[in-house]
Amino acid sequence: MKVLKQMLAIALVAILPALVSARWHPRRPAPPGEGEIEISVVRAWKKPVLWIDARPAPDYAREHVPGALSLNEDAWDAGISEVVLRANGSVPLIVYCGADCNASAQVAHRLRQMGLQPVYVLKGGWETWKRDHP
Amino acid sequence: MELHPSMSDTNVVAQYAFHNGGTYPVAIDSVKTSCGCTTATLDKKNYAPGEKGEISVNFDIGQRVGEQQKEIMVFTNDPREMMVLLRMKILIPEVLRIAPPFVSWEKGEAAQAKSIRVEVMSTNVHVVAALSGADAFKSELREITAGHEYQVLVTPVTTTNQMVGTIRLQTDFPSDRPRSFNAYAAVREKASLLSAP
Repeated sequence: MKVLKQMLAIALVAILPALVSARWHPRRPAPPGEGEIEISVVRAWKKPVLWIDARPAPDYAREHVPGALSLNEDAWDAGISEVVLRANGSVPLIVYCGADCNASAQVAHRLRQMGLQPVYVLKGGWETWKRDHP
Repeated sequence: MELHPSMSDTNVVAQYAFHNGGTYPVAIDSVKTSCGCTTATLDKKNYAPGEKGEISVNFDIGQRVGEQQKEIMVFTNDPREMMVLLRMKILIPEVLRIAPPFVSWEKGEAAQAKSIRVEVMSTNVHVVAALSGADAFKSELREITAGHEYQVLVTPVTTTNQMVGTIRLQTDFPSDRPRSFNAYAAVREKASLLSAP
């Protein structure tokens, strides 16, 4: 019984700081937002996906994920046709923008409203994809 | 900064006031925005110590609704603060609730009408027309509840070919620059026949 109590005390001493650190650590990783997906998960799928670039057109023109379609709220009507023809449930849609932007979340939200699915937002955006594909 | 445009606004402007709190002149080299919908203008480039200035940011609403977040990056020659990030949140009221905003048919499916329900979110707004942007689709506007609820029936002329069309829902609000909103229609390949990107 005494040993059990000691084990419990040691566990508490270890778990409490761990919980505090997990909750309030300044470098705690941000929790994924709605429909966010990690690039490692996409890679592990080993299946085709439809990339959607939600950055401004000049950024897309400069460089983009191979095969990605450009779709942003500035030129929604110009970009949506190709997206709806290519997306009808057979491939996941993965939307990305820059690292610190929310255009991808807004485009993803609008695509879901249109009934297209599944739609994900790439966590970390274009910069993460670039790091993953040096 | 949080902005609350009205239903009739087509743009909103945010003013960011600042002053050079340092002991040496600072130049603002450039101001960049995260979206083509946002443009920033600056009174001038160079600011002496203590001098005040203002960055004016214009946001075009377009067909956006709901919460929008935009960033403005201000680049300076101050080695202590080379870049200042301004954030802007815009809460855009919904004028029309369109459900679903997209109707589709599979290739070969019967070319029968599909329905879009349009709910008006203000008594000042009426839907006056549902205009198909392409000959490939026909659209018909019906008023279900006077001035509040409409039905748009969309029918493809044929489902033998892939095609996408826009259905423009024209309102009478505001009277000087009536706004319109889009729904979409498409004839698509069956899912099993879609090729990978």
